[in-house]
Amino acid sequence: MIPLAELAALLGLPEEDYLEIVNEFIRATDEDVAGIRAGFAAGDAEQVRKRAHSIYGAAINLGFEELAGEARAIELAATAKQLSGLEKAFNHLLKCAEEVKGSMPA
Amino acid sequence: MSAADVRERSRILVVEDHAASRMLLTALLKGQYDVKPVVTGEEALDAARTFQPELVLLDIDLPGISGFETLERLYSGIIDPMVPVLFLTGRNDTESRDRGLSAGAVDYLTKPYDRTELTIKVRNHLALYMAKQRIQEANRVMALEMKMAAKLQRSLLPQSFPTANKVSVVVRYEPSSIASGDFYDVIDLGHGLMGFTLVDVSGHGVRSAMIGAMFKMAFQTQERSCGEPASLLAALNDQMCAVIPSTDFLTVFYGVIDAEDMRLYYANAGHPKPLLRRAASREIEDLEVSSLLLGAVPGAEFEEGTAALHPGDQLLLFTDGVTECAAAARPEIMYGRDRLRTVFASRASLPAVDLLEAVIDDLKTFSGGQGFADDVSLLLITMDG
Repeated sequence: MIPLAELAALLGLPEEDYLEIVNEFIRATDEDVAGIRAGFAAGDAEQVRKRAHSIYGAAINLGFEELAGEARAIELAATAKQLSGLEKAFNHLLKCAEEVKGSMPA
Repeated sequence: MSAADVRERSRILVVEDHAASRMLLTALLKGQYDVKPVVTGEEALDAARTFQPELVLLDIDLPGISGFETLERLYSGIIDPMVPVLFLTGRNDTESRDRGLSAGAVDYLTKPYDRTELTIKVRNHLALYMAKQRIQEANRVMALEMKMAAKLQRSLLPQSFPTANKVSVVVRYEPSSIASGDFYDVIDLGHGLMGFTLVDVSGHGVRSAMIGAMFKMAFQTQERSCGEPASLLAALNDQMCAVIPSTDFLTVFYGVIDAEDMRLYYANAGHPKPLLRRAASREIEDLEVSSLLLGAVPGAEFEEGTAALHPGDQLLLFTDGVTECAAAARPEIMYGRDRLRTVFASRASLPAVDLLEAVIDDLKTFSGGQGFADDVSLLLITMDG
């Protein structure tokens, strides 16, 4: 579980505001993940790069460092047009994204 | 700079396509600022026209036009180029950073950004922007005041001179770009006497113009009550010492011509010594008498000189804007008295107006045709034959 209340405090935001932003992040991340999948399927490295960059930029400032780290690794590989061998990183990214979702209060 | 320098609720435009990032930035800043979040570069251009941001936080990777292009278009007339734009991006490569800063962004922050660093930078850039605005406004007011001072100074100068038997006077005044305090006057004192003066107030600007105005008032009060030039300067000196700061002073030449007796009486308070060209011998004499600057020492006394005049003699008065005019190519070299003396001597056959024009032409040649750094005043008195 990610301590969302603590992350909100670190950012100096009311927890309610922070959770609203995280909720938006989850929605956007679902779209970006779908975009990465489509990019892999089409061999479109630029699309993969853009989607991974999108996740990275938001995740890092919300305090989701592990998720940001995987997104960054995929972004850099895609920048170098290296899409093969990213399954492991992508799967880990999915796991991290699920962890964010699972940490949200019901 | 401090937070106090930043206006309450300064307007910040946030351009960020990622919804969560946009919301986060808005949440971090909205407590102190009026924040307008937009998604694309095109939206930013539209919003900037009405929102008139005082700071812009701009992402680079945007749908549609990029952050770089957005910045370029914003600075092409949509916002004041003084409005700080900060890139806030996931791109941390040197090329993007250099491109962003070269395009005019004041800062380039990469994600992850530190919240404290971000808010401090936003506050500091806003404070700097406000300070620049204040300086711009102060400059505008100062330019207006200088214009008014220049107008005031011009208003001190006589529009015409009294006509007198046996004496003709022409003047040439070339104002510099900044107001100063040159002043001249010619007065019919009656009984065949004509008084004349040329004055240069120290410094430039509003202060000098004001001192020039004060001098004129004092001069007009005293000119007819003090018969002798030295007495007049002494009275004016005491009056000016009482009203002007000790750091200011004036140089004043005052003379009286007795046209019946063909004689000049004069006193000089630190003014460049006038040149007297003798018609018969064609020799040029310096009017040697010179005393303390006017307004510098209360109670100062002034020496008085006298010279016989003859038909055709010419007296040239000038301010140090002439002799201290700098050469364009070598600013350490000044025009000087010798060159003025040479021009005065070599153009003696010209009508008085043309003679002064010749001096001005030579000055312009010497100074490289640029405007003069100081006011240039020339007063030429000719004893008619």
